[in-house]
Amino acid sequence: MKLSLFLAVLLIGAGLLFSSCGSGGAPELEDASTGTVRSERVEREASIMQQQQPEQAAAQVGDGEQQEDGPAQPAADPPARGNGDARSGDSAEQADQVGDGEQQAAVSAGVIDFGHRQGLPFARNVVGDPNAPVVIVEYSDFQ
Amino acid sequence: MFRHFPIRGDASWYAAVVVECAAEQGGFWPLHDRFMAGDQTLFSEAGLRRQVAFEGLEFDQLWQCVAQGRTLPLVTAARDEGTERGVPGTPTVFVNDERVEPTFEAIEQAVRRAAE
Repeated sequence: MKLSLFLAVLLIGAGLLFSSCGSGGAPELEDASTGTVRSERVEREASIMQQQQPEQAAAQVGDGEQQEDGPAQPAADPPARGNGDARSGDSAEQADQVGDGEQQAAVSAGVIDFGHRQGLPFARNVVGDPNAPVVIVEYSDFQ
Repeated sequence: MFRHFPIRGDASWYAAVVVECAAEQGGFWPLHDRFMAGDQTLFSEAGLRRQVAFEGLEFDQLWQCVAQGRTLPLVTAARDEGTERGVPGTPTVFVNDERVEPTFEAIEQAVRRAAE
């Protein structure tokens, strides 16, 4: 019993070491000027890991190693996927949803607190003033 | 302004939907940056759960949004808008209505022209 407790504490310690080294966080998002934010993030992650069961912590240490070196994982079951045929039909509904999105943008408005955009106001997918005389729009995808 | 233009299959659509669901909680840019950085762990539920917790977002709320495809219309609308504007691929950058090369120099010059 004591041995398993010791092992659990050891694994949590290892997990914290990994996280502080940046294996599971987002260190590349931040630059040197965001040290405080980064520290807060590390503390937050440490707090999350401490709340988890030892077994989960051990599993996450494994995840951390996989994140660095493991192959790309396909989504086990991506719950939402685009379909060109299905997309073309519901333009009215889409317009409503976009309207909802604009409403949500107001809810999520704030100031970015990390990385190279730190200090800039944002609302959803917009950084800065969307009504500025010069607007840069980037169309991009992930992957 | 970032606009989704998923053209590389299901994973692109999934990422866009996830990012938009994160946006409901003010987490658009952290998740955007993680996907842009090529963090493949976000394509598994466990990996996404971990990152979402790290960003201080509610995973259950986000996952429900993703499962319901609630933000899919937003992504679709952005994709359709891009198609209408003649976006040939990604990344494509517009400075106002002028399409420019996605390089810092080209964008800077276009901004200067637009500001004149």
